[in-house]
Amino acid sequence: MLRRARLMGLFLVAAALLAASCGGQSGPKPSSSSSNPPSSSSSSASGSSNSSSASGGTVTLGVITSITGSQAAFGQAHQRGYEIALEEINAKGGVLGKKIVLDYCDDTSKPDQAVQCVSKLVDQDHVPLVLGSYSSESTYAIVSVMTQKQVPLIIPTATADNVMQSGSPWIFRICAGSGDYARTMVDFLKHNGDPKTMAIIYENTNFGQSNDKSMRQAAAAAGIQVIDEEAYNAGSPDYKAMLQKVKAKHPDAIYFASYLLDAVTLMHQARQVDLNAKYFTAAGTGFSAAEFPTPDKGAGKDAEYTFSVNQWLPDASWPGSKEFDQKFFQKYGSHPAYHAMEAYAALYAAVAGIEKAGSLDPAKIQEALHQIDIQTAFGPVHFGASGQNPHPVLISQVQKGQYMTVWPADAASAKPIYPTPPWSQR
Amino acid sequence: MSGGRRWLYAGSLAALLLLLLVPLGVQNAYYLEVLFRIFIFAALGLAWNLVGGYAGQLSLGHVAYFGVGAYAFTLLTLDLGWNPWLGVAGGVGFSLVAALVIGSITFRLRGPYFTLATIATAEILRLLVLNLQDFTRGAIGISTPPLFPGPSADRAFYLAAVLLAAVAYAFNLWADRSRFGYYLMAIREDEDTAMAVGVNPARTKLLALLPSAAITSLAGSLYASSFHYIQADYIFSIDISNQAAIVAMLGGAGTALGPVLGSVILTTASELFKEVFQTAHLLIYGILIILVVLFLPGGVIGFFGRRSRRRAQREPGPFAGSLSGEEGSPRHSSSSST
Repeated sequence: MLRRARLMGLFLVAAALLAASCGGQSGPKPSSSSSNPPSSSSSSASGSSNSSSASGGTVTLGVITSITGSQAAFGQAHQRGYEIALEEINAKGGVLGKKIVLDYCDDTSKPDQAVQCVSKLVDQDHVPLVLGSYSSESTYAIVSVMTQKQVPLIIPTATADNVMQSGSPWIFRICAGSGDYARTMVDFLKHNGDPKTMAIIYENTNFGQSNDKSMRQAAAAAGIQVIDEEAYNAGSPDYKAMLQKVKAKHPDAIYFASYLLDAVTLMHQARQVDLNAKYFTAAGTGFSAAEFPTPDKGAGKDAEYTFSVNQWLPDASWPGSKEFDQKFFQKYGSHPAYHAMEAYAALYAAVAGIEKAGSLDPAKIQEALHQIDIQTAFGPVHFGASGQNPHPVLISQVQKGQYMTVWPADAASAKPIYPTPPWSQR
Repeated sequence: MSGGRRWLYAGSLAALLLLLLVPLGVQNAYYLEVLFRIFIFAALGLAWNLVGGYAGQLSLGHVAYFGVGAYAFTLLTLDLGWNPWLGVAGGVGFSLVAALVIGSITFRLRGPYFTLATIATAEILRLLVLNLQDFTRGAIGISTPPLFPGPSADRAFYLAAVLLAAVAYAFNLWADRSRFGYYLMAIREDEDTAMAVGVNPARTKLLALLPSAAITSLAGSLYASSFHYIQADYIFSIDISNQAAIVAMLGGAGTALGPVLGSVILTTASELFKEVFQTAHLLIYGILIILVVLFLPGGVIGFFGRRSRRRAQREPGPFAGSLSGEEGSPRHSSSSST
């Protein structure tokens, strides 16, 4: 009796600490009705009595992102992108003559919480439009709820192909998807040395599995033979056995789908096991993060020569790109990756849709969003009938510690360097 | 039937009727969804309570049945074209089989070893579902079929959760005062003595696990359908096992009303904290749980039970006694004598 009680007590304390620390909340929490940090006073202009999101001279738009939990770093990038866009838009008079207020809801990096957020934002706060979420898992989870509730959703960053598969008219995506990633990378490879064999190494998540599947199909269509596919679980830091296995098969090219820490470790360990491929390529994310080529937080010299698909770089030629980069740097002291830019552009797209609709009726906004065709710092945005913005995918390469755009040729700022020199000659 | 018991049943039925009438007054889908979660977690806590509370077996692997219910319902409906409700029943079937297998292995162990074994079995299932990609879609997850199509789905899900919690509550009441329930409590108090007086602990615990797994599986199917999407990492997450246990312990493990109270308090509190404390909500939530453990070791029911029982010279809740230095005695004798 005594022992069991202590055990239970211990467990409860442990569980409480877990709940408090890792953001792995165990309680049902639909939302954090937090507002945007700098400006807000009125994002809680959203009581149950207030059935209009346009009251008091403001327009409240819903944002779902990962403010806590394992993807909080990307949620922060989102928030920063939204804040910069919000300041710019409100400085120019907002939308329909009213200031915009963002109503943030934290999905704590979990899909079921994202679904709960939809209910909070749409049923409780009556927002006419939602932006979000960060990850493919959370975004895929909310697609059918948004469709059911008939409120438009603009997706800034989720790349898994299944988020657009429903064909729902209420869903709009700014960024390119994993299918575009794979096709662009294969297109680049076909025009630059044409490797014959490939190995795919991916993290065992929706992101990793989607990119593995897309690349398997794209490579087969282009006549590149996929001779090895290796899945790993994030958090197990020793990939050497797996890399040895890949090395034994001598692939010409390797395609990684990894987050930041694993990308860094994979490249360090590739050097340690002397795994030489002519092309180290990747599906963005970790391999395109600002930290990746840096020596202190990233892979440093081991990142050199890696190719990655990329959605946007600060040197992009679209008007406003450099200004966004500068503003971001002044405000936050670091350079933005494409996740912040996609959030920034998503808010501009939302405003364009509302302006065109001339109303805060979700159905009218939805119709208008299908018709908008605007220029943003992220490039042109037009959703068309499908809701998918045909955003061009870039290929970047780390050259002397910098990301350089190497493909497509008309956007390139440098020539690609290949084949990658063996580790012994670096 | 004694007077106290009659009042208890009448009160429970009246409460159930009231809860079923709630959707007439509450039209806001958001409130209905919060209420849905309260009762889904109440049902989970009540199901857990049969094994963890009455029989005193600290299971932290109940998410296994939750996940099996969610996945079996989804896959049977989508891939085999079953009627969704048949899929839900199929989920219960699979969960019962899983309970027989998992129970017959883990119930051989006691104390922390049992707890660890339950965590391990749930983790094995999570990894299986994550990696059998052709069969489960792996980490990509699946959109779940709707159990209640149409615009009044929120109301229907709420009502289904209330009914499920009511069924789970009935099982708990039964355990509270049946011969079978006393077997469970005997095992909780001292397994060796229970065996010596003729209780078969392995069989009794397994019998308690079966309804527990069935209810948990139903909760899993409902949850999956209500949230439109399932994925192994969160539908088999240990958070859900913890939540079931915390809800029961907070309210008062080994009492029928405890898990219901626990779920109402926890869900409402976390909801309010999110509004009031914004980003610090998880910290506040954690501190609250620690305070409850330190000062209300028998749960909310244990706290109030202790006060009323002190007057009657009786003993506090099941886990309170040891922490306050008293030894256990059959607490349940009080319930039928009022």
